[in-house]
Amino acid sequence: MNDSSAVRPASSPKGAQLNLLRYLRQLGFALISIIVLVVIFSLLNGRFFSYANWYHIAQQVSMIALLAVGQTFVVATAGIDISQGSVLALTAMTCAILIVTFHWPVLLAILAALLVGAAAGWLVGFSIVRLNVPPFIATLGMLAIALGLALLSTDGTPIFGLPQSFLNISEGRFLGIPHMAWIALVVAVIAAFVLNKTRFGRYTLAIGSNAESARRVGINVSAHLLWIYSLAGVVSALTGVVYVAYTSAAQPTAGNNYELYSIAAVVIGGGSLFGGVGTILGSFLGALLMTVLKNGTQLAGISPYVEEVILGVVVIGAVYIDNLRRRLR
Amino acid sequence: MTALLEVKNVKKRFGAVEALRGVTFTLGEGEVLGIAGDNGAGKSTLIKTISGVHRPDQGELLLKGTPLQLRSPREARAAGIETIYQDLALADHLGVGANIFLGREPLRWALGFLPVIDTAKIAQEITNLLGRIESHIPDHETKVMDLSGGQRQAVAIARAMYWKARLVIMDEPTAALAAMESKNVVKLARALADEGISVIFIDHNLPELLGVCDRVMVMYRGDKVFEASSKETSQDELVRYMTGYSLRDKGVEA
Ligand SMILES: Nc1ncnc2c1ncn2[C@@H]1O[C@H](COP(=O)(O)OP(=O)(O)O)[C@@H](O)[C@H]1O
Ligand SMILES: [Mg+2]
Repeated sequence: MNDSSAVRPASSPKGAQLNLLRYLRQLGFALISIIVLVVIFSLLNGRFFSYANWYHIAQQVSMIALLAVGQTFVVATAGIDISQGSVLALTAMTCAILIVTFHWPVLLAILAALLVGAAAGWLVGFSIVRLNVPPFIATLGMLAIALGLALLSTDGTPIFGLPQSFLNISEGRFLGIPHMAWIALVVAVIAAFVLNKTRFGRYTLAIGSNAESARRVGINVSAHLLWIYSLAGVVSALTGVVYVAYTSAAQPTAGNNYELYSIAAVVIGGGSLFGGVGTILGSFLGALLMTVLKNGTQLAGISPYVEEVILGVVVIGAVYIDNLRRRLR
Repeated sequence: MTALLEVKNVKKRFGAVEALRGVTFTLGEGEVLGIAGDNGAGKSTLIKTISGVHRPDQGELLLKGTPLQLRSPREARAAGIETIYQDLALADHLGVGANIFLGREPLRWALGFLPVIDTAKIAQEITNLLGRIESHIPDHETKVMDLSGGQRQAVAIARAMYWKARLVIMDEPTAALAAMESKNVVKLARALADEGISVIFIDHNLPELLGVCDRVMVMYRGDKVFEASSKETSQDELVRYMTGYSLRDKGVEA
């Protein structure tokens, strides 16, 4: 009587194999889309494939990739952060005002900006875990608050006159790669390590996959979410600092719509808005795809207004693909 | 057999509904106790008071002779009482190993100073564990979303086994399973008992219940109305009590 062998499917694939297939499917979409776009844009404009342009793409991708890293963690918990763009603007203004108006040392001003980002993120987290506000609404509120404060800070006027030492964050290069891209790379590597190797990362995915199960095994879900949103705020602030160096000025409209780029990047890279899934490499590829799209349409002479329309379509399309993927598993 | 759990005169009321009217029973170490009863008889309410979900209005629980005051499922878990819920509470996107070790991951130092999850240790422990319970789960990396209903039950049971639960409560664990998978879950319940873990098993399938349990009790409208060793009772007798023994004997219904 050996009925146990009948239960096992004839050739049950190993879990590791299934996981690898799933991973390749996640990354494959972004990778193939990038290649297709690069070919098309190269054919449309010869300058697309030049070092100068890729240097430019590297600068742009670092900002979207940074935001995408923060967004990956938030989305993995089944949350969303639509306040990234305006927290970026607020922290950009903070940093520039402290340096230009109050003559703070550059490093101290950057630190203060990061703290402002952490505070904004903490407030979002607090509204979610203590006031039971859904993440979408909590970050929508923060979007308005941060943008309002950014506009108030100078009555809407931009700030110029940042010192060269600060501008070097974007203008300097190391091994032919701009400093800001190195910053994004380092942050991404740390984030990938944390997400894949540590308890913090494991709990992030567990909460997004099944918050109740995380709670039942004794994980402090509220404290964890507070950390996630606070750290996401710090990353938005870091992006704000980089943004100021990149544009040589701080303005309250900085980072407008950037949360859409980062959400699209995460979902294109295999993250799911329903939580429990997401990889830093995937999100990085997603960020690259969004940047190539932005850069290529500009070079092809397409109006920036049309670009906004394309962005919106891509975001909706990416979420649609997320739905399809969930049915496939 | 020494008593692991003593339930004494437990009462629980929800508004006008008296869900438990003073239930008393004892559970031995390594014993499998079955609870039968019609829908609404109070079975789930009874086990929820033991797993810390509900607090009894009256009566007391003793674990190895010491009174248990459970304020939450977490406290029950800390006391070694593990409940396998029908929804199972597993994280679908995580692997089998990650689920079994969730919240209690072993750590090692990477580069001498970075605390990282010790995946090698998890792999090793899970391989041993899965070998012990004949679960048909391919490996520790398999995501729970890739498992069948029976395999998920096996993961939840393996978790209880690995973390040395003293009491595992299973509320209709085979209700949604195919016949073959039910057999496997029943085997796992026996495996728990063989390791000295006590089991409370709720099941509507009476032959299955009599097969797996050492002892069975029947609940009827919030009361325990019958209790016997599985060997000394029959399906017919259980049905008579389930349908209200003090009322007119209705016989076996289809
Ligand atoms: N949380 C609750 N609130 C109100 N009534 C409840 C609650 N839980 C159970 N009951 C009632 O208590 C009685 C026993 O239910 P239950 O313990 O679920 O029975 P069983 O599991 O045996 O089917 C039923 O009448 C049910 O409607
Ligand atoms: Mg029930």
